[in-house]
Amino acid sequence: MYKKIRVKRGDCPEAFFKIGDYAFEKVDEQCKSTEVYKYQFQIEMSIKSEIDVRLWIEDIISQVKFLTIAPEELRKYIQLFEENINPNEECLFHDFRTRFIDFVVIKYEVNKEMKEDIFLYGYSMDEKYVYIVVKAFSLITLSEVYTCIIKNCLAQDLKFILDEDIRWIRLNSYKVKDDMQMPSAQDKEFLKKTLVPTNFDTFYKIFRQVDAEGFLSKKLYHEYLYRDGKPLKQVSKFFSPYWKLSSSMPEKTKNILYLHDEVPEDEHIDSYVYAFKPGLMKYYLQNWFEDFTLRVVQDMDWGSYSVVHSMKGCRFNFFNNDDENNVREIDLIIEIQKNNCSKIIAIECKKTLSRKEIQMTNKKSKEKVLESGNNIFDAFIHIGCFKGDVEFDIPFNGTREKYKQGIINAESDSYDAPFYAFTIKSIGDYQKKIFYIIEEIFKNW
Amino acid sequence: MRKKITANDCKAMFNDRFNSLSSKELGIELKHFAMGTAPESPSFLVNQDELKKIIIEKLCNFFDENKSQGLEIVFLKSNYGNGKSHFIRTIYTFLNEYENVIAKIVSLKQEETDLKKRILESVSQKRIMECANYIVESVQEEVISDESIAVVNMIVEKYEIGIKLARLLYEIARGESVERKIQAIAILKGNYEVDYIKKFDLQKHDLNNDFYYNVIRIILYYFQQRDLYLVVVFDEYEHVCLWKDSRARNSMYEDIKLFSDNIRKLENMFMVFAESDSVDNTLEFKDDPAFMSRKASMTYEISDLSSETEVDRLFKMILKRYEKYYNLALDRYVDDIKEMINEDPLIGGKTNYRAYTQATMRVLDFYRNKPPKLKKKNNAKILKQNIEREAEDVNFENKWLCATSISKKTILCDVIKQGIEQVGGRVLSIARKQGKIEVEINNDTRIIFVISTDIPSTKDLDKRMDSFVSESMQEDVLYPYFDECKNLKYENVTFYDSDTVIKMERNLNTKDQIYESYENFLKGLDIRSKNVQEN
Repeated sequence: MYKKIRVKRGDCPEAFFKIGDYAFEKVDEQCKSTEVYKYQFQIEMSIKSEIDVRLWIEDIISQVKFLTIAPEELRKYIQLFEENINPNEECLFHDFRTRFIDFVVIKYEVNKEMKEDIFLYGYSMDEKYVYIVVKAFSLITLSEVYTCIIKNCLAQDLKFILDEDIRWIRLNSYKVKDDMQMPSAQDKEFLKKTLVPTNFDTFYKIFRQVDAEGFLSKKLYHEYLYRDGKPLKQVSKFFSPYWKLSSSMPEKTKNILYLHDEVPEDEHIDSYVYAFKPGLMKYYLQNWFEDFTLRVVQDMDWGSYSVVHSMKGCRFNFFNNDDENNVREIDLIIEIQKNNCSKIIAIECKKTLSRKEIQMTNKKSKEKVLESGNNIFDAFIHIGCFKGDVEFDIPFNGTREKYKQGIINAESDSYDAPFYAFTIKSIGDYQKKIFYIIEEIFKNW
Repeated sequence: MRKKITANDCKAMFNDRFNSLSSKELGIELKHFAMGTAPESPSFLVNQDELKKIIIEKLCNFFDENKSQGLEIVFLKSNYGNGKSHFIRTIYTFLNEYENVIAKIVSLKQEETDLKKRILESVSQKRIMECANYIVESVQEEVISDESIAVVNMIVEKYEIGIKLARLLYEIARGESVERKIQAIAILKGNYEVDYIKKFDLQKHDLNNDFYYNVIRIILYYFQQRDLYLVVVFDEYEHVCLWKDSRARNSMYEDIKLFSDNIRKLENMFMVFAESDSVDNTLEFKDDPAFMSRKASMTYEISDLSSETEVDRLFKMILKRYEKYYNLALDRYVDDIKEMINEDPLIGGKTNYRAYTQATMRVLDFYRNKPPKLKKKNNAKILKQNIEREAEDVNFENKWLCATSISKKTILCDVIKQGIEQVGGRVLSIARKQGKIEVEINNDTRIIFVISTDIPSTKDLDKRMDSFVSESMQEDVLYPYFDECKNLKYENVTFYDSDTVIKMERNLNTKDQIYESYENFLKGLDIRSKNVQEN
C-alpha cells in the first residue's frame, strides 16, 4: 500500500524519524497526511565547505535554528531510515539527491502571529554553483525561505536558476479539483478561425448582432459574409439558416425561431435567419472568449516579457477550507515575467463589459480573494469583447482609446489590489491594449 | 546590487520618497495609516525636525572615519502613538539598503536579557567566522612558528584578549572539525549548549561579562577593518524597568555604562534604545541614579505633533499619496476635510501621530466614497473664528470638568508643555501618564511632577513629596487645591484648581495674557496667587 508522510510535533511513538520536537511518521494513503513541498535552487556562488552553506542561510534568514550541531551527509539518513522501504512509499530523504542535509527550524510572522516550523535544507556544491533543495511541510514556510533566498540573491547580484515562481505553486494549492470540460472539434475549429485577424473583424460584427438578437438577418448575413460576391467560407461554415416565423396569437404577435438545419429552397423568402450551428452557441457563450484571450496572450509578441504560466477556467478556494461559499472561479490566470520579476494576473473575460459586471466581479474578488489573506494576484483585469455602460476615463497613451483603472479595497488588514478594464475592437487592438496594461502593472505594482 | 554607505548619504535619510513610490508601495503605506500601524518602510516623516537633524548629524559623523568618535548610543523616548515605530523604521529601512550596514531591530521585551548577547544576536555566525579568519590571518605573518600555540599567543598579545577567547577564534579559523567550529561560534554568540563548553575545556565562569565584552570588541575591530557597520535598534526599552530581577536590570545599566565608557574601543557600532513613556520608570532611578543622569544626556524626545504646521504637513503628505493612489483630486474639499478630521472622535484633544493618520484616512475614504456637497463658507470669517474659539473654550472646560483624575493629569501636562514653550523653555521629555515633565529653562533642567487626585490631603502630599527627592535637578510639583493647603510651607508646590487650569488654557491659546517667565506661568496656575490678586 502506498504510504505518505505525516509531520507532528511532540510525542509520536509511530515515528520513523524524530529530530528536535518534530516527528515524521508514515500513514496510509487514505489517512490525513502532510503536504510535502520540494523546491530546488541553483545559485551561482563559489562555496567550498558545507559549513559556509549553512552559515549563508543563517546569515540571510534571521530567525533560524539548526537541529544538528553540524551539517550531515544525506546518505547517513538514507541508510538509517530509508534503505529498506517500499519504493512506492513517499520518501523523506531519498529524493533530495544532495550531499549534505540540515534540519532547520524557522520562526516567522504570519497574520501578526509568530509561527515556528521545520524545513529540510539539502545542498551540494561544485566549483561554480551551490545546489539547494528545500523540503517544507507548509507552503507558507516554503514561501518564507524562498523569499529570503531570492531577496538575498538579488541584493548580492547572484545569478540563480529556479523551479518556478513559488506563488504559482501556492496558486495551484488553492485550486479546487473540478472535471475539465473538453472543447469539441467544432469548438476548436471555430476558435482557430476567430484567431485569424481578418476573420475576426467579420466575426466581431456578427457577434455583436448575435449578442443583441440571437441571430443574423439574411440581409446582414449577406453583407458580412460575402466579399466580392463570394462567400467567406472560413466564417460562414459555422452558421446555419433557420426559419423565423411570426405566429399571431390573440393577445400579441410572437416570433418563433424554428431550429432545424434545412436549407431554404426558395431564395426569395426573407423570413429566414442565420445562427450558430447547434452546439456551437453554448461554446460561444460560455467558453469562446476565455479561450480566445488565452490564445491571443500566448501567441502575441511580448518583447522583453514572457508568459511563463497560464491557467484557464479554474475554481479556487483561497481560504483553503471546505466552505463551498468561498470558491471563486477565475476565467484566466497568466504569469508574466520580465528580468527576475514576475506578475500573476487574474483576467475576467466578459462578452459585454458593463459597470455592474465590473462592480460585481470586484466584489467577489474582494470577498473571496483579498479578504482571505492569501491573495497572490498582482492585478485583476476585466476584458470585454463589447462595451456596455462602463465609462473608461484613462487614455492609452498616443491613442484616443481609453481604459478604466481602480483599486479593490480590502477591508481587513490585507492589502488592496488594482483592477483594470478595457474592451477590444480587433486582434491587433487587443494585443496593443493588453501589452500596455501589463506594462502599467509592472511599472506600478 | 547594493552600494556602500557614505556620510553624505545619511542626509537623505528623512527625505520624502513620494516621487519614487510605486502604487503598490503607496497602497501599503496608506493601509498602515488606516490601521494605525507604522509602515514597514515609511516614505516620509513630517515632524521631529530637531530630532531628525540630530540623528542625521550623528549618523553622518558615525559613517565618516575622520569625524567618528567610535560607538554611538542614543535613547529615543516617545509617548504612545507619537510615531516611535515610524521613526525607528525610517532609520532602519534607510540603512538596510546599504551593503556594508548590518541593521537590526531587537525587541527588549524578554526578561533577563543580557545586552551583550542581544548585540551578538545581531551578528550572524557567518560574520563571526569571517572575523575569526581575519584575526588569525592578521597574526600569521608575525608569528615565528605556525603552531597553534604560537598563533594563539600572538592573538592574545596583539588584541589584548584572554587566551580562551583566542583559542576559540583559532578553532573557528583553523580547526578541522566542522562540528567544533560551529560549537565555538555558538559559544562566541552566547547561544551554546551546556556540553559545548566542556569540549573546549572551559568553565561557565570563563564566559563572563569580560569575555563577551571582548567578543564584541574584536568583532567591531574586524568590522572597522572591513568597513562594516552595525546598527542595532533596541525597541521597547521601557520593559527593562518591568524586569522582576533587579540583577538583570542592573546588568543592563552596567553594560550600557561600560559601552559608553569605551566608545573609542567599540567603533562601528551605533546603538539606539527606543523607549515608550507608558511605564513608570522610577525603578530605573532607584536602581542606578548614576545611570539615569548619564542616560539623560543621551536621551532625545520623539515629540508629538506640536504645531498646526506639522499637522498640516502630515495632512498634505497623506493627501497627495491618497490622490495619486486613487487617481482623484480632492483639492476643492480640503477645508471641509480638515474640519472633519478635527471633529473626528479619534482626535478628541489628542495630538498624537497615530490619531491624526487614522482620522485623516477615515475622512479621505468618506470623501472618496460619498463626496458631500461643499459647505458654504461664512463670509464673516472672523465671526466664525470667534464662534469656533468660544466652542473650543466650552469644549476644553467641558473636557476638564468631565475628566477623570488620570485624564486631568494628561490635560495638565499638555497645558504645561504649551506654557513652557511660551516662556521660551524646552520640554526635554514628557510622560503624561506618570505626570512627569523634564524641562530646560534658562539652561537649568527641572522636573515638574503633576499630581491629580480626587481626594487631595496633607498626608498624601507629604508622602508624595518624600518620593520626589532628586539630588541633581530642581523640582516643581503641581497639586490639586484643598483647604488645608494654605497652612503648608512647601515652596515648590503649585496648588491648582479647575478655574486656574481653564483660565490658563484660554490665556495660552488666545494669547490674551503672555507669560514672560516660568515663575509667572506657575503663578497663573496657582489658586493662592489668584486669591492674592482678588484680595
